[in-house]
Amino acid sequence: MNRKERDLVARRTFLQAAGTAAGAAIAAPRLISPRALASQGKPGANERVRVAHIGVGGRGASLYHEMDGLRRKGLCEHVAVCDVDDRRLEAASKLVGPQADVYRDYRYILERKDVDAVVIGTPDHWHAVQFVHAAECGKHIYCEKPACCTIEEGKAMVEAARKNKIASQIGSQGRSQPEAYLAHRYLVNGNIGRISRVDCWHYPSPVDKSHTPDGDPPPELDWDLWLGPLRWRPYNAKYLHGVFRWLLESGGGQIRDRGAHVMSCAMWWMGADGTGPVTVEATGTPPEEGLWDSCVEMQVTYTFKDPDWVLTWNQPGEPVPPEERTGEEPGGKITRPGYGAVYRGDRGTFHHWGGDGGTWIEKKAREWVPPPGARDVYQSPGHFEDWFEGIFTGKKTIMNVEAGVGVANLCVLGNLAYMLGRKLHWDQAKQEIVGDEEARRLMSRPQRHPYHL
Amino acid sequence: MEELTVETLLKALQSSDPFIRRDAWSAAGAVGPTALPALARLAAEGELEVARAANRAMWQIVRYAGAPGREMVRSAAVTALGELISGLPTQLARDVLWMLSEITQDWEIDQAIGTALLMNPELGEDTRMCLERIGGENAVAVLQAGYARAGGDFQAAIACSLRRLGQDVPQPPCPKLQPRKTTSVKPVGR
Repeated sequence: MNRKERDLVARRTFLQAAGTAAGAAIAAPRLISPRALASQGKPGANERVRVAHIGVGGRGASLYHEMDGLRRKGLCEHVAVCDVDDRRLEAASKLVGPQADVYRDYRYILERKDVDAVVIGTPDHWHAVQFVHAAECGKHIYCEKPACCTIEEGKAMVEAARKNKIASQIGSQGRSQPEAYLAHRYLVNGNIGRISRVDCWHYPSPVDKSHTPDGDPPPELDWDLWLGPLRWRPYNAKYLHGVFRWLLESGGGQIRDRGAHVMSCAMWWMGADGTGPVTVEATGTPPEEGLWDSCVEMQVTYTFKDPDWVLTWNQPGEPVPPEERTGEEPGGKITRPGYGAVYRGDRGTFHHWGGDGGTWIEKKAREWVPPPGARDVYQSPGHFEDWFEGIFTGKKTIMNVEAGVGVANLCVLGNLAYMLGRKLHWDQAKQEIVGDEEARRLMSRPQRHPYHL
Repeated sequence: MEELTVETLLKALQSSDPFIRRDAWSAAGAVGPTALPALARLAAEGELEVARAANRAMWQIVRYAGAPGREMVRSAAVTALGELISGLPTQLARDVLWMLSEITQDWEIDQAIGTALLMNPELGEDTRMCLERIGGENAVAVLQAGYARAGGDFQAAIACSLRRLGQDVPQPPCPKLQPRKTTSVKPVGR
């Protein structure tokens, strides 16, 4: 693919596909009739999607900025922001402007009939509860990855989305990157033959050496709401925004964070959405001290059957230096060189780096020219744009909740196998761990009242 | 690391070397439930990092005991943990309840003790959640007893647990979607 073709890939949006002038502050694409949209409780074609943001610090703030690109195209407006930290809420209000209402409790947003959709950018332990509640209130949902922290949460999310017929997108945005399309197309056309193994690698997790004791939360923070569904524990400055990632019960470590990106690409490119492993084995090295308990180093093996292939998570594994970029490619620079995956086929290997917005792939796939008759694959117009297509047309999004939960389940099962120190057997059809009562119980985690499914 | 005994485990957990502590608690599972009382004391009274290591050693024993085919060890762990709860600091007692939620069989629940824990102001909410996880006839009976005695929001919480366990509990309705908390932050510029 030459430069011109690559740019075309990067620029192609559903607006253009629908014949609408991109950048004009006009209506959403008329893919189905306004009456049909309105009758389904969806925004009419002459309306902008009214979006509220739940969780507006850290990644939540980034999601706002990304979403704002669609507002500038006239596709949506920001009507409310919500956060349990008043400082973050104030900062978001300044950013969004006076037209947006501010809330501490997301349920004020859910009871508003004039809100069409929510963007959930809260810590992982809130994702499932807020997703299910929003679906039950008829809101379309963009939810940051990973989709869920337990198997039960994932089941509830899928059921709520189906029952309420909402469009959902989980934030594993790597699938929507131009390079992801090129990699997918390269692999499904057999360029490295039949793939029997995918080895993901990622740098180790940090260790908390601060010896921070529990204490009182700062006045701007509603600690009860921050904890939400989690069982009560005293406030600790090392268990908060951002660093929650390093606790198993909340963030789940690198595997649940970046695994939800790298393994998302693997499941997509392997055509494995809707499938699952039959066994999961894990070993890991925990931190030597501190509050954080997710693995510093970790190795997980997922064995799939019919078709047979193996997926592994290796922390740190064997990092592969990324190919040098010229700067002419979409994206401009390598933002995630520290993790990736190696695809092993019977006719060669293929390297992938990153997996979120910084997805990057080997040159041989970027420059591969499909011969006549080659199989093409779905190309996302952009992760938010793909979600909006789902809202307006009812089509299945690229990282719909079923796919998102499937990837999150891999991360959850990997951590469970590590925590229990034994091999787990997984029944994909029943979505259950079998032959291990304790592990079966850990598929769910009862939640604190009233912050529950 | 050579095979641990209760004594060598406790000594290693109190080492000033964090790597020795980490390796000790990581290998604590096979030491077995007899170590739980001493570990609980260390988790309650030890210096911050020693207490964390002791707590993690307790979890390792629970997860070792919960493996398929270890019924005797599991049963002994449940007995040992059950005897610990009343003498522990609140947060550690909550941890022990959650340990029990992973490995306790429904028939092992004493309804009188379970109801007392459910009605305990400090431990009630964790007890409710743990009973919901165990979820058999005895767990339901304890939740029903608590439902009859509780009032206000805690009764609503128990009602939600009972519904999740398949019981028909019409009142009070689940308040999960009712907003409760307001902010003093005002929209900037309005």
